[in-house]
Amino acid sequence: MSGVELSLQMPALRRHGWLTRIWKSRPPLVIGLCLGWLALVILAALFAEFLAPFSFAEQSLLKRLKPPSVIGGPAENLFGTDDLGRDVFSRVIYAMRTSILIAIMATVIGATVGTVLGIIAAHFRGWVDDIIMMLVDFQASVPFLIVALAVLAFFGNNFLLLIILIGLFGWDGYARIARGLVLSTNGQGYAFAIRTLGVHPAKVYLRHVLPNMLGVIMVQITLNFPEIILLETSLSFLGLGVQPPGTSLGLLLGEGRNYLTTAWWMGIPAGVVIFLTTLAISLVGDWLRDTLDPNLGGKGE
Amino acid sequence: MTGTVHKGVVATNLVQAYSSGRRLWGKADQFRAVDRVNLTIAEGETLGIVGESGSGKSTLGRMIAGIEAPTSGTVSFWGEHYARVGTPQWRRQRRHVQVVFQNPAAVVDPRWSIHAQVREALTTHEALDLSEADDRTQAMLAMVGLGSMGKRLPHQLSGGQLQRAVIARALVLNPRLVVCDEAVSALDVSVQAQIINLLLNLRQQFNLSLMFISHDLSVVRHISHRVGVMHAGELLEIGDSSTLFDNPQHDYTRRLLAAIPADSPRQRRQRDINAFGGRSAVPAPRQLPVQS
Repeated sequence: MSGVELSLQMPALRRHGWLTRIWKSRPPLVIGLCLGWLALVILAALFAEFLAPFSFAEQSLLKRLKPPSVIGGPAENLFGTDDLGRDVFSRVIYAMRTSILIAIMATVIGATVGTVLGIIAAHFRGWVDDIIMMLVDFQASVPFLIVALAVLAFFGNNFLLLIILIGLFGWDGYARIARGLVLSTNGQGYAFAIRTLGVHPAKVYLRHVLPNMLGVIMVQITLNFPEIILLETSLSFLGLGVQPPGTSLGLLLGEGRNYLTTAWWMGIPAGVVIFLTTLAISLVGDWLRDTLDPNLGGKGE
Repeated sequence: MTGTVHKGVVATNLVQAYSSGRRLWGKADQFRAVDRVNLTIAEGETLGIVGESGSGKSTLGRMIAGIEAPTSGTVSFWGEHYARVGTPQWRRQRRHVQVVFQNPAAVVDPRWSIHAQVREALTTHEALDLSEADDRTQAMLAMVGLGSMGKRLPHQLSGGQLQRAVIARALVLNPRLVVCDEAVSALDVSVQAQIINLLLNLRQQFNLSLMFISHDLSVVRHISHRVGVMHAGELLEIGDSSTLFDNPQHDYTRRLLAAIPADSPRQRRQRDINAFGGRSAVPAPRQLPVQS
């Protein structure tokens, strides 16, 4: 009976599910810093035109390889200039936009494809399940970077292909998670019970299973996102990702490599941004998982 | 069978066989969870099914409820056969037969208020406008004693309250048959009594047929008109509740009944004398083999 009195005091506690739980769990300082950095990155990506003092392709051959302003470079080039006299600070901001855009779109693709396939596998079982799980194993056992290189080298490079390719990286994680969750709710869980009420399975998935899965999928996204950024970075670094004059974090790193000993400021800022961003997302992901996991069943006790 | 539609459930020769793992060569092993069971449940009647874990009583219940198709045999439900699981017709049939499961927390959506969940069941089967659906949901919740708790989420209810919500969700459809599969086993004893009294009440109001599956013999005895005893997939014995409990025919039934905890040592001794001619069904602690 004590449960009655207890819950009387907090009737609105779980109206918003995992969002409320996150809010109530009071993120520690490190997580706050991570979230702050991520907000900064996203703002920079969104408002690159207003934040960047120069265009990312604007060259000035008179100002080649100038060091950052703090160590004696021109005042208007905060992070110095590159071998074509382009402003590194502006290029990093535009590179963030490209990389974040690719990573977000690829994550959406991967999460959608994976979740849908996972649900399909768990719903139909039998040979459908076998085939999808075989694809998952295949995906997990193939060195994806090599395949991506081969595909891009073979079909030539274009932005859409790049995004789709990167998007397909990591779908297997979502598929596994979605399949497992659906299997457990279908077995003896609420999805099964609600179907025995006569509710159409599609409605059960849309109204009940998917919303309940969202928290776990969010965690998986935070785990997958840094890997995707790194994949895009690697591809661009190797020259098969984003093509010049476009810019991405990986491309900046690649261009900076040649000047690492003489003009380190060309590559280092991009590297730092990659490092901080992936680290921040990973930490936030770990924290999210810790916050959400004990309550996944939705039971307060 | 006569020309009129039989009001109730008639199960004939029900078999449920599971194959237990494929072998690399040769046939898969078959395991009969339920083996040639015949039974009837009349309208308004409560049939109790007892048996130990793994005796096939849950599987039998699922077949009677039509959520699992039998390997062979038929279930006639008010003269009608269940459609294939998952078909639109099967979904329409769901409103007439409902299942109440053992663990109420597992069978409700943790993110939906219980009012919304009960209403969903209702609106799935009847095209109602929202206010009417809300009214009827509210009335149903009031009937199970949760009138003021509709807005609560499942985790804000106790186990007993949640099971009442599940019962409300089942009964709002006004079904003919409700299969209670260990519906009170996960609840503590005082709450069990509440739920059973609620079921007895609702049974009368709705003229419900009940199939009450439990390993708890005293509960089954209390609620059932007739009782069947399952063992290893077979229905060993079925008969009037009082007859079966007072004068069990099958040896297994006798042993099962002897496992009911007695009210006092004196009563237990007396019962053992009646059933086994003085030999205790359970070895006395002294007689247990000494562990080294």
